[in-house]
Amino acid sequence: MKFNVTRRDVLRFAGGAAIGTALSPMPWNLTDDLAIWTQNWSWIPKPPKGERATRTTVCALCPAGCPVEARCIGGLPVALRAANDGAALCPLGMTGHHLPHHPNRLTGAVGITRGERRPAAVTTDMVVRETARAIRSARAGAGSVVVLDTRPGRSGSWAWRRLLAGIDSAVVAAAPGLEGASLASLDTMLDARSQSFGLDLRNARTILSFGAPVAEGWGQLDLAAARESVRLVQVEPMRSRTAESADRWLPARPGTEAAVALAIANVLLAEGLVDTTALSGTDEFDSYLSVIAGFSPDRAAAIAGLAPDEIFATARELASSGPSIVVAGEQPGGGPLGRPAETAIFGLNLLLGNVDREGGIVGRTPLPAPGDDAPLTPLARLDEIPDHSVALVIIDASAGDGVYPWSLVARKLSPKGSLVVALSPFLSGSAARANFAVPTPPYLETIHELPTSFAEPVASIALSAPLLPTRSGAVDPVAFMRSIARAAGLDLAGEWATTESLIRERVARIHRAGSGTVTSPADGSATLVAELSTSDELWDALLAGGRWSAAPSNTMPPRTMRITGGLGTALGELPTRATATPRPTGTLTLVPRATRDTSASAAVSPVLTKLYQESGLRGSTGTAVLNPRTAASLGFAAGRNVRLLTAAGAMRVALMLDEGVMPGVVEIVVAPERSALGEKTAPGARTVLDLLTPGNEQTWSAVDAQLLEG
Amino acid sequence: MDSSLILRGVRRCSTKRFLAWLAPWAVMAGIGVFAIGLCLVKGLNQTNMDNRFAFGLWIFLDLAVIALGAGAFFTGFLLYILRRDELRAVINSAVVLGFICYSGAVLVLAVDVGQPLRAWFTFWHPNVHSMLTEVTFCITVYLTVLAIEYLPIVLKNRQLRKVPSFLVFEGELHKLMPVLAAVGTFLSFFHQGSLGGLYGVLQGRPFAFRDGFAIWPTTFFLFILSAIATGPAFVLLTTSIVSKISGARLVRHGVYELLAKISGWLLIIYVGLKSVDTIVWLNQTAPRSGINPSQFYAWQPFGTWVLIVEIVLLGLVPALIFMSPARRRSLPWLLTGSVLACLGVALNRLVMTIQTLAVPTLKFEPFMTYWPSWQEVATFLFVIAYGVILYSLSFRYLRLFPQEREMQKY
Amino acid sequence: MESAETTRARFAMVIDLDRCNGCGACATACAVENNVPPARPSANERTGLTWQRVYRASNGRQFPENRSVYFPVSCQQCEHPPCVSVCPQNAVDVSPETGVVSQIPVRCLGCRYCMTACPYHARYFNWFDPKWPDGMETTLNPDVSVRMRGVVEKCNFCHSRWQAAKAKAAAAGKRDLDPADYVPACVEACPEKAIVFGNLDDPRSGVAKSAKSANAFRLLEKLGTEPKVFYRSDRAWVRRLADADVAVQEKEATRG
Repeated sequence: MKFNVTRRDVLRFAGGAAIGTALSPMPWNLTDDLAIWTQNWSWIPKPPKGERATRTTVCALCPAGCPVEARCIGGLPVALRAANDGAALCPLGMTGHHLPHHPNRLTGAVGITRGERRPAAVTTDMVVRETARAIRSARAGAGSVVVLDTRPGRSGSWAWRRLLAGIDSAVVAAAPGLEGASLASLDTMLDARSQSFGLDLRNARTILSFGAPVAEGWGQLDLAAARESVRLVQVEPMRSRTAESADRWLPARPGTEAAVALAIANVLLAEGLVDTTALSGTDEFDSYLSVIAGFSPDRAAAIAGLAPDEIFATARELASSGPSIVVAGEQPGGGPLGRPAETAIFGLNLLLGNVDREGGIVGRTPLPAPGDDAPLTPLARLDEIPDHSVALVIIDASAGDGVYPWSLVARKLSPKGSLVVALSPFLSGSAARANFAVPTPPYLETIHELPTSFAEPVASIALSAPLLPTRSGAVDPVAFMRSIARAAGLDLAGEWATTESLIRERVARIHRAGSGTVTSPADGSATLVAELSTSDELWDALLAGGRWSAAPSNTMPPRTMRITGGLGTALGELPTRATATPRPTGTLTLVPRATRDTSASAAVSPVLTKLYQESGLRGSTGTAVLNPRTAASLGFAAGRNVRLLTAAGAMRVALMLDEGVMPGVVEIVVAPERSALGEKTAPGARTVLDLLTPGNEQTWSAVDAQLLEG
Repeated sequence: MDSSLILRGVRRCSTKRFLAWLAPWAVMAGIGVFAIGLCLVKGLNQTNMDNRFAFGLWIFLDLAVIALGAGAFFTGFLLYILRRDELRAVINSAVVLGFICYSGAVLVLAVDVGQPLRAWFTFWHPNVHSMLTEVTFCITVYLTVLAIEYLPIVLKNRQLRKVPSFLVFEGELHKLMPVLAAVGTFLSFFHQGSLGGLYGVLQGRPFAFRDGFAIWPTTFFLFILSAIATGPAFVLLTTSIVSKISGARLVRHGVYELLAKISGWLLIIYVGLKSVDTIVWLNQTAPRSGINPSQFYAWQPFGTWVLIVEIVLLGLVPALIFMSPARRRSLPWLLTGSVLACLGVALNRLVMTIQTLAVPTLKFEPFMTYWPSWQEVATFLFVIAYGVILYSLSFRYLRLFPQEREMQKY
Repeated sequence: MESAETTRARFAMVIDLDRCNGCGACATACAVENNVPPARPSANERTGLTWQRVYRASNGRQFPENRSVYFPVSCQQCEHPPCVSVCPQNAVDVSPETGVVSQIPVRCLGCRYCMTACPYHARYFNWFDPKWPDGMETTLNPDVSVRMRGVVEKCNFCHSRWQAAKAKAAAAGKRDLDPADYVPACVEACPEKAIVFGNLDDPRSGVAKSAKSANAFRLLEKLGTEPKVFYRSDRAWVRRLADADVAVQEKEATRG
């Protein structure tokens, strides 16, 4: 047989094949597969799978300690929200579960050399040896030893004081600019120990705040909820969130807060609105009166750029709707207002009789210490330490960080040689400025302690329970102290070897004392400590998110009142910036502007780029904001890059214009640095805060600055 | 060297000179290929487009070249359907130009979309209500039509003609031309219009939104009209540029005059309708959307001058030049008119693409400006280089201008 | 998918601008809930992904009379969405069950036509590959899949939470969702309780009442898009910011 294949046959075969294939499922399946393939790339991250559960802890990212409910998948947290009904977490708290995965988390000890792009890996043992050597040379007279505590009041804070008790030159100081730091001025005025006062904000009827971010959760006050019961007067140069939500806003020029406070005192006294019998007998009252006399409302109003009526009205409100609380400074990123201003402001509390009064400033018994009454290193303020005198600085940033200009610490260092060692989970913030950084476990990987905050009328404590295993490489701060004690030959008695065992000691002591209650976050139910049979029960209740609070103490010893805080007539000396008018041409006042939530942590979730980088909501760090009129008078336009010049140096900044900025003022955004948001940058790079050289009074809330082309 | 490929009876430069001419364009295309590679591999973050300027230089390029490429279909329409035989002199060139414009546009679109591998989803899950679906369908089909129209021109090459079956095939294709021209015309009318509709339907963008007839906003018709008005001008312009560069007379002046006359009449109609549309839009459509039309022109550099330049300088002026028989006799005037008309259609597409997106809608959003990145510019230049190279090859080896051989005699 | 048929609803929210103080908790909660990746170093406010974006606006007056208002703007879930009809491949869809405009990222080609169509700038394009720092993928929400580079995404009123609520209702044999079970992340996260969420078709719901209150308004109402995100403010100057008739901001942002 013979096949005769013609061209036509070939064509027919091809055509039939095509039709047949088209009718089969094959091409359509292939198309679908192709579609699916283009929709699934292997490198797109896949969300985790696993069993769902809900766990409770307490946020340790700022001193407020909000109860947190964590949604977990396979035991790992994927979402955090407030555990108590009706409450909400701030952006920092909501993203806290990202922090253990922060790109700038320390995985091992590092040595940092300024100017080097990457830190050098070292062993923790080496850091211990170097620290011990520095301690020995300090004891030999090379200088003093300072522990900078970024979360004072913890058991760990106490352990530092125990560790260094044998060293004469050692002190433990709170890091500058922490929340509640201004209360140290009040301690001086009332001759009281640190932490022996709390602000009873929730029961106050009027709050007069000189720059404190009351609307941002400062003092754990839920201003939205307290709206009906609290009247808020804000004295602040910036149109901050608090200023805008205040019932009255006094936009005083930067640095004139003391003048406003003294003028309010002037009105209170002149109009006989306060009872001064308790004060009239005290030593300093006469010099106070002579200072006050110099601050008539008219003069203060002229200095501060306010209407005198505002000062009169504020004074009368304070006197008529008590109890009131007057608070100083505490602007996040802006640091304290300085002792004279703080004293002038807190003096109003003494005049108004706000001390030891419900809804005012109340005395409280301190939280029990974790150990016995063995000698402790004294507490000091960083500004009290002489410049160029410190041989060793240990920064304990294991539980948080503060926002402050590094020059505050740098100026204390001995020129003959010094060592700065930091304990921190992250290579950012304070730790990036140290010579050595030792990794500590971050929030959610270890127990963190939330001791009494400055805004609590009674002593309290909460514990942040870990939800994740501690990653290898992380060093427990107390274990680190033990190593130093061994290496430096210091005596550190006690059984405790880790932070957890130390906190257990404290909890055991609370249980032994048998007073106070534990409040559960979920339903607000309170249990008396006396009803708990063992300290383990108290421990478990705290780890489940509970907060222990001491019973209110009703009797307070009589106070010695020093209304000028020992400053005498120096109280009335204002910064020259505040009084010198007119300002030299082209000189602006530089004011740092920050939000409260993120200023408590050296690292924040990279997702917060939504607020700082991907939207204009908060502005990226280093943005300078000017009133358009000021900008026009200087010849600058928005979007331009300009150089910002202060006594501490110059920096290129982006310029933004905003009618809400006080004329003559340049607000500089102090926000998480790029490294804090997760970008890998050289450690210890200069930040905008470095432009804000603090004066002798440790305040950087306002400095002189100039703006230059390009 | 390549003389055996070159058409008999026409003068072409030496191979060396030709390669020297191509070299810079090839470099430009090479840079463009690199830029395109970056965009495809690293993603569109290589561009300066953003969430506000979701469309940028590339979409402007697509719209502009498709408008200019309208010369292809419109010349075909005039020649095969309306039987204006004079235009046989430029039809081949117009087809090549059209092919370059459309293939360039499709290529850039493929880079412009975020997931080019899913481009075919438009055919798989088409949304028939979208102007973009219509554009995608029409452009794809029309590009095929252009390719088929291009084919006989290629097959007429001196060497390819030697293959008998090619000659037969070419002959068959030739018979198809009127059909293809009709199909092309139909498709082109639709997608030119749909490209205008793309903007006209944006009810959320008062700057672009227009009232219209049935489902078609006025921009639908204005885009068709502006495209067919400038298409002939673009053919005129390119023909005279090629003539200048190659030093060869390619067509009789009468062809230029005819193209100009057609362009002129269409332009004047366009300018009239565009003016009416602008008046209605500024006084009725935009205010109804809650926007004060003065705001459209409140942000520099988009002042009212843009509108005046677009309609008067780049619309009315070339129309008047083209309509005057005296001016039409002068080649410099014709060139001036063509350049103005082509710039006019490009400006119109630029305004519709960029200004639409720049004008803020939310009062608390700032006015923003956009400037393309080098990758976008390089991709843009790639299309131009690709066009020049393809056209140069076609001009050298194919018979783009049937009158050229006779013209040599003069 | 269509197994448990629930009652049809039109979900909506009312945002009280007099309560909002611009803290950004909603924007943060949204990113965490919906697995929106953090910004690449080169991203900025024009190339970022912010399904819920908080804009600051002011009354335009000089210091100290200048006052702020914060507009949290997400997809406005229009009744007449300008973005749906423009999509060439049906990647934008309105759910008849919820009234929510949803984006189908796996079908999206990335042509961005919908973005040019949206007057609220509520749609965002993935200019970059989504990338979390090493290990942070374990913190992703398992109920929301991650989108890829080159596609458009936007708010969908936390669609996964609606599905969970629907599943819960179905398991309990109910046709109606318990309103407490379906609350988008931003609503839950707002410390000022400025956002009320619910079913507009349910006359008893808080959202239906607030949306009808005297000082409620919507953005760019004259465009006829009929958004289902309402705002309210007792301040007249704030309400005036909703229309596009007068230019307030003279700011210019140049890039490139």
